[in-house]
Amino acid sequence: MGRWRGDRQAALIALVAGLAVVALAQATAPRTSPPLYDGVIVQETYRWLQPPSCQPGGPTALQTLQPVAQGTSPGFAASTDEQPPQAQLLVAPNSLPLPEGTTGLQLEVTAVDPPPLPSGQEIAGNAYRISMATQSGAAVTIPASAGVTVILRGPMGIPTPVIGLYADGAWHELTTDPTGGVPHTYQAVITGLGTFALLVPAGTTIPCPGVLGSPLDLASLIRIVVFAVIFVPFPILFVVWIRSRRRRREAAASGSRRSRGG
Amino acid sequence: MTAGRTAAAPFSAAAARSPVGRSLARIVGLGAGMGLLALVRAQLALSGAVGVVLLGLLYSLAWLGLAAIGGRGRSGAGLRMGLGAVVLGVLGGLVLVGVSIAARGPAPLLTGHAAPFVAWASVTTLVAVAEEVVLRGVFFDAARQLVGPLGAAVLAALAFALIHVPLDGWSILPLDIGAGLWLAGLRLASGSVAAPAAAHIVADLATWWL
Repeated sequence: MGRWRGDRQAALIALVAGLAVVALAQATAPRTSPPLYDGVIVQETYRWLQPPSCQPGGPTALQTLQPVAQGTSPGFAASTDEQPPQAQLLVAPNSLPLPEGTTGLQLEVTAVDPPPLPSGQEIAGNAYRISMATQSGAAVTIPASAGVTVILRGPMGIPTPVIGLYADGAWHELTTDPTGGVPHTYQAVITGLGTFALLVPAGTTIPCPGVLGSPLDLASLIRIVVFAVIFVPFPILFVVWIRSRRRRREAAASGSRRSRGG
Repeated sequence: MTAGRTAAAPFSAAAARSPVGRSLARIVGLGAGMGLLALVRAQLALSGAVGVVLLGLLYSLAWLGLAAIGGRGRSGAGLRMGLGAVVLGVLGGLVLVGVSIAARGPAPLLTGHAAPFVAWASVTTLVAVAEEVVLRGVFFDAARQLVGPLGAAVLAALAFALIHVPLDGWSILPLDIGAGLWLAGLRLASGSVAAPAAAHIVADLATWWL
């Protein structure tokens, strides 16, 4: 009875404290996924605009008109169609000052031929031109307080990159953080748009996608099943073998004790 | 010198045989196992050497193995399944996701609908269940012997947050500590690991639509 009451009290404290901490953590440092997401992300191989050997091509693009209601800037995540997306633009609700009469925002996220490279660096993956304008083509300013964020995913196996913005004929390195939960994905808060890319040291080798790192298809599923069939029984057989050996040894020891005693 | 050694040995053996010593050894062993698995998983995930579905499958099997080893000789009372606990867990998962979404801004897409949902959902579910069987199951039970229900909830929440650091970075700590406390609260409220497991599954699967 006492233990049950203690459990109920502890449960109440844990539930209230847990929910409060979750709300506080999400409010102060927004994450890019709901809590608990365990990183089981089906990640397709990076698609290149100009694919090197052994790499796939055909990156997707986004062109959309985001409706604006009552002149208030909407919250949205504009993403390309890969899985996870290779380029994304995040805008929080009511964060952008919009010109009067704005009824929609034209968004474009497109892989483009890379601009001239910065010295000592090269682009890992594609360069993406990201643009945002009103329905009439007027530019939209992005204040620093808006927290507008660009997220770029890179090919697997690259060293930690920095997000570069090519604007006004020059590259500008942005403060870059890894996006938690999604490997090889990086984000930066921006105050202007242009062409974005992940910059890595010149001479970086991009590895070919591994056979098991490819997107999940029938062949991959067969490999998983075969691997599991081979892999899983071994530890089980090992434990069974150890235990039966120990039992045999104990039986032999008790047998010899009995014979000595008899 | 020899006398000191012989004098210390019975004390250590007695400590290892005592319930406290056994619980402590269990906590340390499980903690080390969880840490090792988290590190290996992050290394494999970030290198891209193993596909994520295969990795999730192997990772969850390893966790279930850890639960089997860590739970040897225990009653397994906390591992009981019950419909009431599952319902409570589903509701708890929905609350967790709802609060999380309400408190944050727009989020990028992590997954799209082009992927094979069944394979993804199966592995995600397996990983969530395996983690809960260890964290809010055998680890929680061992910790409870030492530090009581609330202390066990805190320890399990800390362990839950720490195992996600290798893959998600240190910024995950506050969020996962909060989520871990919530899950431990569900375990205590229901008396079964089925409740936090159901909540964990709901929160993970919700990302498909969010």
